Amino acid sequence: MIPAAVDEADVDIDADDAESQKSYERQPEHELWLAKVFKMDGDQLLTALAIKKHTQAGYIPSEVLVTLARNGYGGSSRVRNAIAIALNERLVIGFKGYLNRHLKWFKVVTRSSEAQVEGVAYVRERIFRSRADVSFAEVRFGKFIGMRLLDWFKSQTALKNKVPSVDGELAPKDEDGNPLSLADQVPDEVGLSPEAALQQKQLFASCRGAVLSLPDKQRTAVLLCFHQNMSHKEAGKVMGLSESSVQKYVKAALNALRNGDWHE
Amino acid sequence: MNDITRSASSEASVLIEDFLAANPLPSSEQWKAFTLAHPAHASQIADTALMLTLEDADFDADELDVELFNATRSAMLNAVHLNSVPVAAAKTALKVCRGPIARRYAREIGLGERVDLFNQMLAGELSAPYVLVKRLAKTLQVRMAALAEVFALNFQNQPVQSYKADGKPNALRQPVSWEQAVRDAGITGEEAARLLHLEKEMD
Repeated sequence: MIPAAVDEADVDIDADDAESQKSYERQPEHELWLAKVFKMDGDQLLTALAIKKHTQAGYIPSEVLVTLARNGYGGSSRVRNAIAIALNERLVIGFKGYLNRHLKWFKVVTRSSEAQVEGVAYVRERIFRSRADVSFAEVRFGKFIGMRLLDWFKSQTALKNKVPSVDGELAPKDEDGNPLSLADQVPDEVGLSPEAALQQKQLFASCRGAVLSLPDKQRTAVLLCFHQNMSHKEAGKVMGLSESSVQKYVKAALNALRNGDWHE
Repeated sequence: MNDITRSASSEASVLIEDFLAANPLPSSEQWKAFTLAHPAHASQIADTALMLTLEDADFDADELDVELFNATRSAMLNAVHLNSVPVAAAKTALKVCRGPIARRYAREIGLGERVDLFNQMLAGELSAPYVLVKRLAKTLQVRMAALAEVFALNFQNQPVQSYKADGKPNALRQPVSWEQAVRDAGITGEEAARLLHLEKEMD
């Protein structure tokens, strides 16, 4: 039985964009899985869909579930329902995974279940919006969720003019127990030891929310120089700016992080 | 977002997806080289790299948020059930395969002159090798999984045989295996070996 429609977020649909039509090569392991699934009867497929752990034998990859769902595969409503439910589980787990790992700062999402439903709706809509034979979600499901969530968070930030917070992150402290500002934790980019490089990596993991909320040019300059290890000259070339302008943006970004301007 | 910005963003998304399809776990150096090759999209590439680098999310380790799952369940069920276009397209495309032209399609997908097997495949009576479904989908320009679904539906919709004087109807409960279908067609020798090998092919 087809369930009644539910109220969900309005999602901006631009069905003719390039993304929705781009087709990809399926991964060989996913092809093998599809070949297996096509040979299964309804009961066998239901049994496979009931396997929830990736480590368990017979676990159907999420990419294959997307293929089945977006092609109306199943042979019966019962099996199609099971495919939809399994895919929704993967989507919700993926969504929460990214949220918990990377975006705790985004209060508007973490504190509102409605916003989370909107986020899941956005990603789901993008799964079914694609008109390609093989969509990106059928090739790299985890990456697909990450990319779509990034789009969605950006649009939400712009739309609602909400500001993130790093209250959820525990700032490292100095010898006297005073919390260090984010900028104070950024080591010099010259002459990093392996330990310092590792610390830097961990630091980026903990403050990526703060960086993502910086103004566009500051954010891009910081990311290119620190995250992609570009020199100011290289970053300037990519951004169409002079070396000194890049330095200026990086400095402004670090000041913003130090002063907390990025969430004011 | 204006049209130009939206178009640029969409173009960047396609480029990044291509990159990630080819490099599932890109290193910083790979992200850097990718950014240098596409400076016009540096900002979006840098943001995505930040989002996706470090650990590749191990979703398995996460517990299901039951509340969020329940709140989104109906919408996913709707999305799947209302998504009937691919199957309808496959059904329509299959109509052109009936009749004398079936021989041409049988040859095109690698069945040679075995139109009988081709027709059985369309009717869903046999469990066709994956590669045949794939090739036919490509020839007809429809999605493979939708085509497989049409075969399954065709099998389910076969008329049930009535009782015969000599006993119960011999209706199939499941499609016959490919091997059985080849054997039942009386094919032997090299041709049988070639057809049976299709089960092992993927392209």
